[in-house]
Amino acid sequence: MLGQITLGQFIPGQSFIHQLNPVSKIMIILISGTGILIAPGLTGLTVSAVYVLIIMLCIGKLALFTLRGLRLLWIIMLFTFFFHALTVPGDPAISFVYFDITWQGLEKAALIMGKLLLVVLLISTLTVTTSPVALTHGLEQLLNPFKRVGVPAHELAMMTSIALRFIPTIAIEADIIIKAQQSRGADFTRGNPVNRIKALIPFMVPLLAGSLRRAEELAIAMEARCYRGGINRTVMCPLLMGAKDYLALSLATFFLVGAIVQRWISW
Amino acid sequence: MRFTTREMTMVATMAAIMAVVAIIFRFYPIVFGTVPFSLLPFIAVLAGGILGARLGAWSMTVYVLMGLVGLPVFATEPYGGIVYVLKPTFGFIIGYIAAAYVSGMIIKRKADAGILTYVLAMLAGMAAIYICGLPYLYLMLNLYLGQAVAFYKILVGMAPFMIFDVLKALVAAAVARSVVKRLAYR
Repeated sequence: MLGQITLGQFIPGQSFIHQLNPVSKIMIILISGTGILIAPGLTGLTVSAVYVLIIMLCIGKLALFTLRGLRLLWIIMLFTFFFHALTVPGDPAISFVYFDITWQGLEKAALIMGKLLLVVLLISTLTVTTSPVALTHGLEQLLNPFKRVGVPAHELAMMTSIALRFIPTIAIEADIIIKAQQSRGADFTRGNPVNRIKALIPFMVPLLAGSLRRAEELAIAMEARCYRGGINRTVMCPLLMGAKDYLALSLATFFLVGAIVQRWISW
Repeated sequence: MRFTTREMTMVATMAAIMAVVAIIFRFYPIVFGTVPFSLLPFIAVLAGGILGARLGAWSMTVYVLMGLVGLPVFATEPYGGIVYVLKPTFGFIIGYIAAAYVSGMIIKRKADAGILTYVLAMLAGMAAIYICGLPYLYLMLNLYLGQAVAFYKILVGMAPFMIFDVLKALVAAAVARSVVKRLAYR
């Protein structure tokens, strides 16, 4: 259970995508996602599909794990597909007694569902190939320029790391509290909903009080070791941009420019 | 914006508690599996009530961030990842941030808050979740379907959840008050 939490969706590997800097990976996702959404018509969709396919081929077998991202949306996507297929007026492709599936409807449904599918696969590639810690550091670097307008980039990354470290500890503590209260006769499983919500009090109060006390101790320990936030702090493994990052970034930009040209400058 | 070290660990702990509560319900079906509701809104308003508006809101921000970078800390499939933004119910998760802020604001106004103030604050926090979540749900449904879904239909669909949330707010008020008393914060 605990291992599953800290790893999340990340699968370690050595592929081209794995070796990219998390900062450039996030930027590539933003650029390519925009490209997929604005690429017009079936041609645009085909080109985007080829583009996403190339990215998926880079990570090889792990591409199967990106399909897990679809579990979330497949009901919505099916619903969307049939909704568009059935409601857009036009020449009927298949006729039923009360309604028609039209060619225009099928085209529109395929476009919307295809774009959604590609964006989901693209984003899942990011979380499959980047560890949560690397992603947090990447976010910190991306947010750094916004420090002047009050975005606490370093603090946010630090708090995320502490929270990450605390999840297993608090999970164990919650387990102990549940067992302790059950041994005193507390019952979380029976009764009507009102009683069940009330049964949360003997669980939540010790959990919150105990964990926050632990947080206070951690703060004292950190200050005793002279921690003082992000001021002049150096990193152990700096995130550097390599040749691969520039190559990947320029490919993504090329794709976006292509989509813009195809959409607004007809050829 | 500066945080003291103590504030940072508090915020991180609250975010971790939120994640643990979301996870516990997945792994302890024997103990909590029969509970017909999500506890996350409950923790969100508690965060505001215990830590105050600013820290409470930041703790929920950290929680959302953890989920978005791919940790499986959200309550429903696939539990994390940026894809979650495309889910129509993501607005409710954004609403947790607002809920913590609103409930923290109301309690802070009065120094020695009584139980009634706490109840009011928690109810306002629950309302904030819906104020963020419903428009998002509405926008996403319209985006997917390409035409308008009547807003009142969504409201009717949400009504049963709202009744549970009022109950949760009442219990949250009791929990927040006794935790604050125990730790004597602020």
